[in-house]
Amino acid sequence: MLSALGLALAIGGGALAVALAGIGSAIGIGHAARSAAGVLSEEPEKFGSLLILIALPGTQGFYGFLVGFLVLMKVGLVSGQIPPITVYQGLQIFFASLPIALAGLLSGVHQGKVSAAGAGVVAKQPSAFMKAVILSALVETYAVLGLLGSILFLNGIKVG
Amino acid sequence: MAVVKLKKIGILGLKEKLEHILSLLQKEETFHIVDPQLSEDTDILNTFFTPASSPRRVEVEEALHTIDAALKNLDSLREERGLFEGLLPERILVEAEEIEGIFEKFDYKAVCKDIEKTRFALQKLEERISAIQQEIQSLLPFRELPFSFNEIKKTISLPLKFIRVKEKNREEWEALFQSVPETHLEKIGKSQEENFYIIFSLPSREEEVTEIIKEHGIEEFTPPDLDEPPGERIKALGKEKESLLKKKQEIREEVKAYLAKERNLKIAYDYYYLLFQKELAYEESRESKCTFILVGWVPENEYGQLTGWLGRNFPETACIELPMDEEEKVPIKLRNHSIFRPFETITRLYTLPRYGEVDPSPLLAPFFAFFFGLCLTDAGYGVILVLVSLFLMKKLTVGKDMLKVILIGGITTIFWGIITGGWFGIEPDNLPAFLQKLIIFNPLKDLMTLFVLSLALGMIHILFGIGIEFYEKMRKKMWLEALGAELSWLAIIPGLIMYYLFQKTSPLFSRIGIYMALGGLIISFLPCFQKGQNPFLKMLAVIGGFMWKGKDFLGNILSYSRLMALGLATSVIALVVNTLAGITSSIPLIGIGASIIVLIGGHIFNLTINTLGAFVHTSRLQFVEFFPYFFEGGGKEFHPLSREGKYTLIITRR
Repeated sequence: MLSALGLALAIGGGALAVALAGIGSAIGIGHAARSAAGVLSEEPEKFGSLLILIALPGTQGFYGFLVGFLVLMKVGLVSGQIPPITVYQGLQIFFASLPIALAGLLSGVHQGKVSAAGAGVVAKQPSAFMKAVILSALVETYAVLGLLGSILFLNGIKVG
Repeated sequence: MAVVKLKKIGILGLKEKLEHILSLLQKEETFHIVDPQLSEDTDILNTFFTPASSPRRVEVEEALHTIDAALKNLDSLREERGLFEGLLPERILVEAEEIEGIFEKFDYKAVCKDIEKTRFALQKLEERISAIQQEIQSLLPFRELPFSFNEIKKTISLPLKFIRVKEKNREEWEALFQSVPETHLEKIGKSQEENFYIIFSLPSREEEVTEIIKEHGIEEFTPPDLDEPPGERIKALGKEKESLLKKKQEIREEVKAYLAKERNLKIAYDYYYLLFQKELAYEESRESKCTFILVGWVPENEYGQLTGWLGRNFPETACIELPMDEEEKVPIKLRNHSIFRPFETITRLYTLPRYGEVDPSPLLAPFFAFFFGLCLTDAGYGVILVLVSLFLMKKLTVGKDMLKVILIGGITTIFWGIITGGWFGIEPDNLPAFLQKLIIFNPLKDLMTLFVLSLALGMIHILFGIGIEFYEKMRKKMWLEALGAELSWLAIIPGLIMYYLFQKTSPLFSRIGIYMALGGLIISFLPCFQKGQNPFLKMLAVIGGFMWKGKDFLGNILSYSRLMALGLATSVIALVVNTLAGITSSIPLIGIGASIIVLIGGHIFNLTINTLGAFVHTSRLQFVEFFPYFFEGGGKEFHPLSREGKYTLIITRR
């Protein structure tokens, strides 16, 4: 019984990582794509540059998914051999998933806003495109750190 | 290597030769023309020399405008564009003779006029077609009416009203009108939602009918002015539309013929574009009654060549070397060994160096390459990157430098992939034995090694940055500054690392480390002894700066942990793709096919998104972490009068 609760907590953590980071990316891409569509209506030939700007806030979703997958591997759901997981271990995995879940959620939204502003840069100064990309990537740093935190925490937790 | 030294020169010559000289300069592509800026102390020059006005500018601009409009028209005539067409910049490769001789066989004015005419004709056709469609739409409800509206109006001499009524309250309205005596209501048409009626009544009842229409807000409509029954009209319109569509098809065929001329049009555009550049240069010169002055920059190593052919071809021309102002904004030309040249694009993304500053391109090159590879860490992906960039380099005419950066990054990716056993996310245990032997560590099992490696690379990167600044300050003879601010850190950090590394194994090295760190700490106070400053205040500034720098240093090094995170992300997503493919392969019947699709799609996706990430984050590490230690930038590009067109690229046979 307690082992089942431990497993549930661990899965809860993985699920939060996938879901929250995914929400962050979805909102972020939404912001960026809306601005880009405005530019696109005037200058369809800028589709390529805009696509990159739109895609940038999409990475958080992947980081979240990645941590979710690592949690699945940790609790043995991928291989099918599920070791007994105590409630404490479940909680540990749950908390270890939070960095990417929360950092992914918020940084995704904000990176989307920076990318949206970047679409404006591309409209007026196509040559400054890479600079807009770098600005957007400055926000992503914290999603990367969230991912790193989650990976390191998960790596430290012993299960089974 | 690095930023090319330039000379500022003035050319003084006969006005009648200016056009010719400019043509030759344009061919040589070594002379960056600037405004002579004749200042107060050159008053004499100002009285004699006035800004020159180019004789052909209006004509050239007109031609450019015409061709540009034609090209735009042609673009709007193009039927469909692929989603990714025009994404990659392309240039037409031509020989200089082809541009110069373009008008011998090509009459651009006639072509432009024809394109304009065709576009106009097509526009008219499309307008007419949409008008026909509208008319057909409006007549459709009456298609069953056996006589024309004009006939009705002529035959019935009683007051007439045409009304339209929504289907849902039809019966109610019908009853309303039927209750009025000496009035007739006749249904003449019907659409999906509406019914159309004609009402006629004796003149004495007209007011009553009008009253009902007003009271209930019933909509009246104006009958179309038609002499034939609507059904026939619709048929006639349909026929007209068909013939117009056929005509449109014919015009489309014509457009295809024009599209074949696009290349020539673009070459013609560049012919005038190059002329226009020359005219602009002309206007930067100053002229007197018979002479001209031209001022500009030339690379030091090409100066001799330039004066040489000027003197040979135009013996009456004088070439004077001008003094360079301290504050002057010298244009920046970078020149590096061919291995480092691609990395100039990375520097350009940030900004060009100022004159007298180092060119960071060769300095960042090895770091960029290895960091990029570490962000991917999969030899399989590296091989794909190498192949794709080689292929694109063969295909494309521009953007080769960027592709070379990716190519070099691909090679380092292979390197990291081999030593970490990353091959398309395949478990290292399942790799062929010879590949297993090459593995030094497996990042998925040995996270700490990768973490320490990332930070260590970061530390080397930053120490290298400090080292460059140390060298630069020494070169500028700022001894105390260099020792205090830079050398101190170059001693403290390696010293501390040595102290910890050898603490247990070798007390001697450990002690050397501690002395190094202490020595560094002491020399960091050297700037206090600079002349003319209050030593106490200076000391406070030094201590503050020291702590600030230490904090910066720590934060910057931690930022390199992204190398590890991105590398892991690539390997784990590759692993996920393989696992998913494994799961799909167990689906009956379509299993194998589905898992192949998952494999290919998944890996392409992972490669694309992580290559973008690797590029962006590696650039960031250069710009945000590395550059602040030694690089400011802000230079303007050296832009010689050249034959660089908008659409063409001249094949040089030098």
